[in-house]
Amino acid sequence: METVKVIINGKEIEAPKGKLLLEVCFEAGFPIPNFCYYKDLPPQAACRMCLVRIEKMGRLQTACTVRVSEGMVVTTESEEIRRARVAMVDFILSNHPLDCPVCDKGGECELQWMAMNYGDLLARFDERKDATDEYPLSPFIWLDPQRCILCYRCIRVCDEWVGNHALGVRGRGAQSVIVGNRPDGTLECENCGNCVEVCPVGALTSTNFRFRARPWDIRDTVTTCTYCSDGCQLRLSVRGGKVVRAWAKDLTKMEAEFTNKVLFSFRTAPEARHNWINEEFLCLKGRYGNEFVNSPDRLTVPLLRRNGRLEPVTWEEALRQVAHRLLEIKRAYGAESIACIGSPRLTNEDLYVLAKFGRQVLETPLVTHAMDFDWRPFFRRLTVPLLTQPELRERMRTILLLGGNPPEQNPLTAYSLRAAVHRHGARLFIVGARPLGRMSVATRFFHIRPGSEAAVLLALLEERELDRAARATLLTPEELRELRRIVWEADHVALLVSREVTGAALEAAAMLGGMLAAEGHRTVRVLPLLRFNNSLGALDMGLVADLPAPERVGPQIKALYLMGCDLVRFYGDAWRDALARAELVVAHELFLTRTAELAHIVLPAMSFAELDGTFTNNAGQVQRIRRALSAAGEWRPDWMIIDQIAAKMGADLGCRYSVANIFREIAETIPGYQGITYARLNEEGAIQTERPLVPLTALDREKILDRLRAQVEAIDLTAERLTEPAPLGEGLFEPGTLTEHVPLLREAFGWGAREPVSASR
Amino acid sequence: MISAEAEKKIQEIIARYPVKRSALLPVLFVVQEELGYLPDEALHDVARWLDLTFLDVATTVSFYTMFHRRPIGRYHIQICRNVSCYLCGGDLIREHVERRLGIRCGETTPDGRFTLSEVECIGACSWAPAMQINFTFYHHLTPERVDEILASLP
Amino acid sequence: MRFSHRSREEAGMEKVRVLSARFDLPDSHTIEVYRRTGGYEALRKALTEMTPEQVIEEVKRSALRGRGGAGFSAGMKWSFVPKDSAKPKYVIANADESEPGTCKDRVLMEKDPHAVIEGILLAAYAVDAHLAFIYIRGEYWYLKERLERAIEEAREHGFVGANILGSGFSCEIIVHPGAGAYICGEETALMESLEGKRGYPRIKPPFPAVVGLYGCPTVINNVETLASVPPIILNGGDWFRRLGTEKSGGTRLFAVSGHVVRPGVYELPMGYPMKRMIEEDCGGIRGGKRLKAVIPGGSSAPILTAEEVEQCTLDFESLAALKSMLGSGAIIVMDEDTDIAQVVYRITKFYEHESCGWCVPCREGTRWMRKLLERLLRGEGRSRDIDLLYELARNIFGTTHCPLGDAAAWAVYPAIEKFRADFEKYVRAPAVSVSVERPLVSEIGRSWAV
Repeated sequence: METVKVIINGKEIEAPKGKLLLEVCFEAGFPIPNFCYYKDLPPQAACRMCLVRIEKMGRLQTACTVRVSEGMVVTTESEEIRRARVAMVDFILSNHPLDCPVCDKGGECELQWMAMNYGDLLARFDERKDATDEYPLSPFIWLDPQRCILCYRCIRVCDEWVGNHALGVRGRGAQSVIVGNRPDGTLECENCGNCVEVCPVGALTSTNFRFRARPWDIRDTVTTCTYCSDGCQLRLSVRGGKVVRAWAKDLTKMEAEFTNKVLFSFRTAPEARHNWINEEFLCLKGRYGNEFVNSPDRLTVPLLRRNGRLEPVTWEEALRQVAHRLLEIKRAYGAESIACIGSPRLTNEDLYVLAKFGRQVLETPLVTHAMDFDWRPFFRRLTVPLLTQPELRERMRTILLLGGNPPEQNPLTAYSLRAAVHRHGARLFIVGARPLGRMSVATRFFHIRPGSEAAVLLALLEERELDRAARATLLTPEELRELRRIVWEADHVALLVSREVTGAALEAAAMLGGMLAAEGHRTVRVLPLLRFNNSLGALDMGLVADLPAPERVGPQIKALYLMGCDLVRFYGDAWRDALARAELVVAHELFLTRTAELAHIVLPAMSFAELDGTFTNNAGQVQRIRRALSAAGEWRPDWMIIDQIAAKMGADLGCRYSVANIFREIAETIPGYQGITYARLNEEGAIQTERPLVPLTALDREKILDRLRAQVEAIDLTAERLTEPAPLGEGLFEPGTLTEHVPLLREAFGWGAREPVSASR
Repeated sequence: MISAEAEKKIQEIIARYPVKRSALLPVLFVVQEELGYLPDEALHDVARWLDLTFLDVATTVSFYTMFHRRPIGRYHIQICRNVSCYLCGGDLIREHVERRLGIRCGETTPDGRFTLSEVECIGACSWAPAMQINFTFYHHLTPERVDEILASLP
Repeated sequence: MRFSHRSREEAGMEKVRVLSARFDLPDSHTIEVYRRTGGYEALRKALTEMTPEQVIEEVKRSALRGRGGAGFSAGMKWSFVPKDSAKPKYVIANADESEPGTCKDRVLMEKDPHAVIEGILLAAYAVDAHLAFIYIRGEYWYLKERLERAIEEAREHGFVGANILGSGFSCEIIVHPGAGAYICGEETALMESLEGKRGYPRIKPPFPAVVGLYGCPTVINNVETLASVPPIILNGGDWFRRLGTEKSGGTRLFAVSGHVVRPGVYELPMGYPMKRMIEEDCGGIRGGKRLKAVIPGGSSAPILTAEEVEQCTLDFESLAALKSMLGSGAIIVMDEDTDIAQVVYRITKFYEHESCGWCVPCREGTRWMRKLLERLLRGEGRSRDIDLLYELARNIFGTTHCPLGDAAAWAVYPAIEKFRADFEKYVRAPAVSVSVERPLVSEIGRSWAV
């Protein structure tokens, strides 16, 4: 990389040629104030705070648009520049309302900082301000146009991070105002709230956080999101035992002293940015979906069914009952009559302990988790490493997305896809049954028949099968040949596999990764778009038995130990009847779900916000969750509950009431987790497990292809192409087991009143 | 929303440009000529013709003063308020028109015939004071001449 | 409509009519008249006898500088277009004339549209462009129609379209309307508008000659600049330059307005004395009044006192030496009864209305200045408000994203420097003192900032 010598404030600096002067200055220790500049977003030169003096250039220049060249001489601090900065702050404050006492941003407002550091002591604006009222742009986002300094961060973020293109500017000059994409100016968007996140002032605010807390009253804890498998890091802000918000702003230097040298480097100096896999991105659920932890509907005490009703009991009583009855059933019907089913939402520690419990104490082979989708064939044939989000953004140049709807199901992945395209010109090819919204960055969309994803894989693997694949997919052989060429000739290839790819096709997809990599020693990665925050953890912890058919409950399966899974909601009414037939149903739950209603013993568990532990995301990265709230009810961690039950059954699971202890054992026993410790996790953030890969030679390519062919043969050729794009909110706006307990989401999406619960507490 | 003839004209305009979006301003003029103003529906149509979003079209429209989102009078009287016209008595002309029509700048006569606006330099500085009514220029205005002009409008 | 352009003989002076040569002829806008008077001969000469490089050379030699306001060397601009670029090139004629005081392009396009067209074609030939646009302000709709008719005439005669004059060179011209935005006269904002977007100026560099319309190399010139090119090609660059001064070649159109007896559009050679133009060509100040001030280059140009007018010649250098600018060549003449504060208020409100709103100092600054002026003119201002107004204008100058901010500033602080009395006269002791005496910031130590 070519470097150039520049002189900044008399100091000689060597910098990469063509780098933005503002970034070079930061790295050299000369931070420059700025509003509209934002890392990786197009420079705006709108706020004019970053004006600096460059020799030989007549007027002051914006450091955010100038690229360094050999011999450039720059001054960033001088009387002239000081006066210019004062003037800019003066101008911004001229119409800005003095709302600090009632503005949410007070205390963490970039304009306040800028005014304190660069502004004048007195405001000299003696005129009447043009006042405007604030109003909601959406149920989640409010706009106060008068506070807006028109830095355009929100618009750029909506365009580049989220692909929603929902924000624009209406009017001209001083009448300019941020506006949403509906005719009435409100927002039709996915409500991710990233615009609120990046707003430097209190122009954009979140409905759930308005007037709730001052930044200095809040306790922030970094934890991992509990929703999808991408595993965003976020900061849970807690005040008075309540989660008031979740956010992802890079605050690396926030705790530093209030000095201008340090204050502005937090956002832009590269090494100061926190190294989260999601950078500063969060989706609707991660940002606005956490208040279920404070829901009044949380189960607070254990419940025991007596005389047909669930009644509160003490923990002692409940645990004793569970232990006693499990032992009874085991003695009477044998170990295989007990099924342990965990939830892919729970931590690795929870799941590990459940598995250990099932194996060692109950001695049953029926240890599994509520798999929404069977990914086992994929992982059994995994030939190349899994793809992390940073790698996707920075290293992958040819990306194939097979099926799925990342903007709705894995929003961080969608963000990273857009980043790869915007930052590095990566080519994105989407193969799917429906056009996707918010993915206009795609180079090309291959529109296939629904259900024919397997045929695409067949075409990619076997050149002789192009005609068969064409018939199945409704693509032409030429298009498939083109797709083959793209994938087989590119380097730094990423294969993203979604849940339309099933069974043999999954095996084929996993195998394809290795085959591509073997060809010319290229860098190839795969990303399975799993659904839940710990779907992969559940597989890794060994909860991989087949889920028993509900009909077997009653005749063969007498007891169900359910840890956090609402089988009725998840799998349907057959399970409602199954639960009724079981002799014992123990359920760990947060809420009285339809499954828990039918249980014999319900044990209140801790939510992810009250817990320490780890999740493993879809890249196989282990990340910490941390306790952000102290318990408001008598709930306990899932693993601890099991540990205590085991103790009552006379067994010692070795937890020693320490979650780090459990993890130590995981690291010792689970393949891929070696060498990972809590200390390392705290230090490094996300640590990717060294997943055992299957060498290509060990795979029976022909057998896999045969199975794939059989799958392709079974494709329904009468199914027609779907022309309607996936609707906005198909994944994000639908109620789920957790989101339905978030009042703001209920109201915003009109989910109606919740069903009354049948049992008393 | 608009006539087939206008739509044909619009397609011709779009075909001229290397990039569709470039046709936005001329297309908007055609639509506004037909409808008298640009309602939401029209903007949706325009967005469709040019492969743009409603937001793209609406925010662009709002930048330019010659586009009207609400109906205006049949005759849009635009009196220049800028320097050269001011120096030559443009204010008096404006006041005269306001008195004559009984409306202030920014308003429309109750019969919907006249809308009165103060506009910036229209490019008639050497023949000031001047005004435009719709697209027609009127120079060297005096109160008498203004009365003549208003009377002469069909 | 009367257009005033005195012949040299009438004024008793030698003056050459280059741009306005056809203005007095009946039907001067038709191709018949145009061809009869030597029209399209330059194009023929260029296509058959000259290379594109030679065309550019000739224009450079002419010292033709932009007639829209910026005054940049036309030939030099054309030479910046990369010859080895695979992208299509474009030519844009800037007919967005919206600078207050300026109405000369209007006359040119009305009286001699073919000159503009021929100029465009020559520019296109010079930079290998095959599609040109005339971006004309929407208010000039009748001229859009006139230009379109002229283009069709030219097409019929084989001057526009494919294989012009059998040379193999093809060029199309599209007339494109603006819709009421002064900022779209700025070359990069114009391109944004031509692309169908909000008219925000772009970050420069890169410059339009390299990255312009649709990201492709683009030559963008004022229509008068382009209309000057055919005579340059026909008679040579040196001939044109010698009509004016060494650094400001040729003649140009001046739009004179305000308190003169004969306002109008005049063609004068560069270097012509301003005082003479006002007193002789324009008949002096009406009503026999005295001259007070002149705004020499459209409202963006710093105002000149009567003394400064004495020394001023109409060329780029003289105006620059007086810390003003030739700009769009719009001369606004003000007599002794003019209230400069009112004039400044008019202009400031104009800039506030036309500010695109992109950058802080222009957007907030023009609004602030306008409000301050309104308060001052209502009689509620203090002397230090005039100081504040001065400072605001100085703060806007040089800090904005595009020259509109500079223009807004230039309209204000030179006027305060030179005509402070006009502002001071609005300062009265208030009948009731409502605000607390506040010291100027500079009088208090700054205790907060580092």
